[in-house]
Amino acid sequence: MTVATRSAVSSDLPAIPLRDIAPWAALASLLAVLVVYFVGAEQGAWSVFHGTDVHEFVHDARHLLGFPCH
Amino acid sequence: MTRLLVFGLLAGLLASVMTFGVARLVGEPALDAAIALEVADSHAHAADTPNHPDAVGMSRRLQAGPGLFVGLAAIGAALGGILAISFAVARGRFLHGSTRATVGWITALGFAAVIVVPMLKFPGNPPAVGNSETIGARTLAYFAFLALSLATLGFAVSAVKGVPSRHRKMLIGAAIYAGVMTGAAIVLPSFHEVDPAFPGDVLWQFRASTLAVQATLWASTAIVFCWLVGRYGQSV
Repeated sequence: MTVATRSAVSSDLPAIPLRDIAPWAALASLLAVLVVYFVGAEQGAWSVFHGTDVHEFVHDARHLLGFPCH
Repeated sequence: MTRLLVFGLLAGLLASVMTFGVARLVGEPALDAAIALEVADSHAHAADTPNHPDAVGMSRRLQAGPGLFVGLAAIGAALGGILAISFAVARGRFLHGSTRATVGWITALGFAAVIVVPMLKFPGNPPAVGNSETIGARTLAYFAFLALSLATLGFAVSAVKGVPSRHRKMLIGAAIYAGVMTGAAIVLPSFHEVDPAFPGDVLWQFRASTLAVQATLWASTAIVFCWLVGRYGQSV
């Protein structure tokens, strides 16, 4: 009975070893930086692709998320 | 771990659907009002701004529909993924409470450091506001401030890890964070580019809507993530 109640509390679970988290953390951070860059800044201050299509497509999202747009 | 990540991505995607609704209802009217002013202005000075991206370019329907949704969904998924990673790192190391308390702390601290504080120093601008010559400097300063804010949050959290009392932990952590960020806000340049003729009402409505959009995204990601972990993830 006590076991069942306690398992609902996350602190009783063993912490996930950092070694297991590290590769996911690296991948997720990399992807997050790319996403934030393309939604938040591409073809504004800097451009990877030529033109303004990326900027124009995510235009409203960029404004409404509060990124510096233009 | 993979399960937590899936929960995070799902939570972020679901949250972006809700955020899309708020952005349409609250944000788009402000954007449209600003664009109407911008178009009126560029007609008045057609020679000054022959190629302004907002006056020409893609159709507003595409920008306010699929474009807005794709942008929000991408940011939502990224946010959910980072939340899942932070949860895995913090649980049992920095935070020892329930799933709800752990996710609540991460979300509250993250929202303050990633959204609220950078917004106070560099608030978003609606169309027609902002000097296109400073977009490089503004974007750089914004991301530098954001990166410093995250690094300072991380430093403050690690610095108070050994402090015994919960109350003192919060006080010392908050003091470190507030001290560093206030200093940075003073040192970094400010950009005063709002034309005095631009209606303050539209500017306020726009900036308040960016806060509403971000708050919706973060809060609903956290709530859905908590629900998924509680419902399907007792062993992860």
